[in-house]
Amino acid sequence: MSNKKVKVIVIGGGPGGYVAAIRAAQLGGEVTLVEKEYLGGTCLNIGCIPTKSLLHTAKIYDEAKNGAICGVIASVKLDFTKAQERKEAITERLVRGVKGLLAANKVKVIMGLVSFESKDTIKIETTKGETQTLKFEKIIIATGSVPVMPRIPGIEAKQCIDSTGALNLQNVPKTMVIVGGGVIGVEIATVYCTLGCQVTIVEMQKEILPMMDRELTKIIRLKLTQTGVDIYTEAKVISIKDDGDEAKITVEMSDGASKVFNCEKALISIGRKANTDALELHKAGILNDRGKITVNNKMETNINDIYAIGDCTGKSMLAHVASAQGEVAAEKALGYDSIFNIKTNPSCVYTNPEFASVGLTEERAKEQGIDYIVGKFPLMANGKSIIMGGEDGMIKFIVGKEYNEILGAHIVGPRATDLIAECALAIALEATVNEIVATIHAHPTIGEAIREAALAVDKRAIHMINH
Amino acid sequence: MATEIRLPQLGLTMTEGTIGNWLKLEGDTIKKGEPLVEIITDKLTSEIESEADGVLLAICAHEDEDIPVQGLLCLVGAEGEQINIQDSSIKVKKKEESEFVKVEKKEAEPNTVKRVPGERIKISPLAKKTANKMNVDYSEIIGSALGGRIIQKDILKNITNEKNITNEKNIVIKEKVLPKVEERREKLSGMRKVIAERMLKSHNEIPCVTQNVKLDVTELLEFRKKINEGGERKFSVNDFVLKAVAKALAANKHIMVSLDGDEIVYHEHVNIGMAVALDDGLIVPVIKDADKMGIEALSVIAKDLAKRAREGKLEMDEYKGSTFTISNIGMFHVEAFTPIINQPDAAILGVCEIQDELALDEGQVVVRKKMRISMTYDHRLMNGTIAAKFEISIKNLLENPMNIIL
Repeated sequence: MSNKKVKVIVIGGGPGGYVAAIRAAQLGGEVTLVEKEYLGGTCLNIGCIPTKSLLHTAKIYDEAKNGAICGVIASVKLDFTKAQERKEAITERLVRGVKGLLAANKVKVIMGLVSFESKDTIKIETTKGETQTLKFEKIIIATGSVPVMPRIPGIEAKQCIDSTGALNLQNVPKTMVIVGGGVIGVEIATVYCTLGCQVTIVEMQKEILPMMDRELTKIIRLKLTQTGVDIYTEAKVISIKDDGDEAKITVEMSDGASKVFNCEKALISIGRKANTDALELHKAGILNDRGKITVNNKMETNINDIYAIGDCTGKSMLAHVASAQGEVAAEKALGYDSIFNIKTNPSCVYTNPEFASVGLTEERAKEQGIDYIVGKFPLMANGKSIIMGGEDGMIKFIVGKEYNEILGAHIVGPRATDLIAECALAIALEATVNEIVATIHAHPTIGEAIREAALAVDKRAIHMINH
Repeated sequence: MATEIRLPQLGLTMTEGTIGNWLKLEGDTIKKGEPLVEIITDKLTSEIESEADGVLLAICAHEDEDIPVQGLLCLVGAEGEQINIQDSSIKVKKKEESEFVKVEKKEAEPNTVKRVPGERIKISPLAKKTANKMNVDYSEIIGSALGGRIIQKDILKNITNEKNITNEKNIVIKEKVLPKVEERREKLSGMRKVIAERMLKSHNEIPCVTQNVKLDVTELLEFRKKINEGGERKFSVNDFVLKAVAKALAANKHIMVSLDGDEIVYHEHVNIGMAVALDDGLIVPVIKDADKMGIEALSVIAKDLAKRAREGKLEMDEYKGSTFTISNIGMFHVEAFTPIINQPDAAILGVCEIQDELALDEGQVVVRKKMRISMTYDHRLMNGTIAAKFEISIKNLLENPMNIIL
């Protein structure tokens, strides 16, 4: 009978890695976490948290500026330096929090870079310059992702920045072209256009936020346009030229014509790629698709005792996915049975209004040939939304035709990113419309519009005329 | 529309197969041509490949189940696709072929166990509606979601026309916390499992006796040396043994019998099974009509069969139909042993090590090469003297090697 603890190494201290480490420690493992730069990873330092912090500044600025309608008359000034300071303070605080949690769970933290020597040995080069080689028992790879820089001629121009650069600007630029209208592009557009920057989004696909429900995306697009953002879809950046202070971005528009945009800064946000080059995966024989580590739904790679989670597997690059997968990998590594199920994974976009979604979009349901019905409720009929100025929003359910089970839920409106949890739970429990209807939702809330949208499936919403 | 993956007929006489290990799990992404599951037929394990790209939606046949040819193995389709089993031909299948049924047990939780009457049944709203629509009695099902909660796919797997959802095995409820095991354990599966079953059966059914006869193979070895020096083909001792046994069997067909129920079946063909050791087991390829071929042909065929047996490339028909079997483990220094009869044969010949033995020849001490043959026979079908006489006829041939090839 051995009381020997299972030794687990976690590579990467982001939301995937530190969660995996804590979970593994909870299950009795002896855990070491190796992080090359900063705990909290991209999320806390150059991703989710800093973005949402700046978005909050933008929101308050916006509400204060437009407060007259509510009887609040203020003359508003923006101190962007202060905004950045606050952002950094929040990041620092959260990073300290993660440090504290890791320490409390007796996770040993090494600051260093990991690479594989073989399928059971790794090399760690610490930030202090020491090198150690060690054989591992179980290892969880959580090295995350980095922005992709496309091969566009002129991309080296000094005006071109990635998301990290965009979040660390010291001043609000006068003009900004955002290449790539995905979540990151659209959120940064929201920050800067609200704070007075003239923003242009150039997106190659048919619509911005291409994976989200098309009908609701149109609402977001309209709101962005109303805020002064110029959006061009089916438009491709051909070249970039450093023209002194500004850059000249040449775009091939949807009709084939060529148009040039001048901008102080050009944010390149076309996507992210798995950050696994430094790991030397081939030395361990870890199967990967051009750097994206191949895993099954138990987060196992093709090599025994090696797991991979989060962005470095190249799929659903979201912090909460990484965390959920981190727990699964930790459970598997410690000998428990666990499976990652992506069905209840919500997507959240922190535009103004917020946009959140879980499950199938209408487009996906059509693609898969699923028989579905739609229930929609416009927030202009919802009291709280009117009070909060969010009446342009909408809640939409995609529901199975035969049994009325919730297949997808999409919300545009205030607090959408919080409200979506109810819908994710509904999907997890295989709930049907009846269960949402049977649940009393408080009034006045935006949440009660969720119930109305469920009622709308059966064409019996109370607070709107059913068609 | 999901693609149904059904069990193909892998050999002319195949009627069913046993499911081995699933190589993919529900929810895995599958590419066309990727192996999905192992199927065991007799002793061969084959892999069934996917016929389509997609996601493995549902496993319909589980490990250890016997599935008839064309039985439904699994469904591959688009992610999130609803499996509408009504559309497939499962419901149309005859009652005897209950190849589906078991509640999916991959996601950690238990299958069917008798519920305490009055106990609340945890079931999702969708599953309940599905069960009601499809007339499934879910009171005996324990689901695959957390805490044994029944979800839709548990209902879909239990669709059956009659009330009896059979599950004879007593499946222990798997707790979320797996105990840590100290000894290494591995489930008996694949070829090892089949061998275990067949050996036990042979051992249990047949009252057997093994008789050892010592042969003087000094002449044989000299004979072999001469032939090999002269010719292109190099013959092994085993080739000579094969030919000698084939010849002896042709003249003693009463050795090639089988017991089928209460009838004795007399076989006409000298089909010699040759036991071949593999890394993880044993297989017996058969040389058909061995008496009708010369030693050269015999040697070629024996070598080819042994090679392909080791590579796992035997056709199904190549390891069936033996009427006698030879097991040669002489190269492992075994002096004598008690081979187990390869059913439905009546006997098996073990060939042992060649040893040096001192003998007196006209007052001089000489070295002779001696080799034992150990024949195990089914005492229901023949008695000691019959077996002994047969062994002697082999002895005579091997001790007068010229007669082997004449």
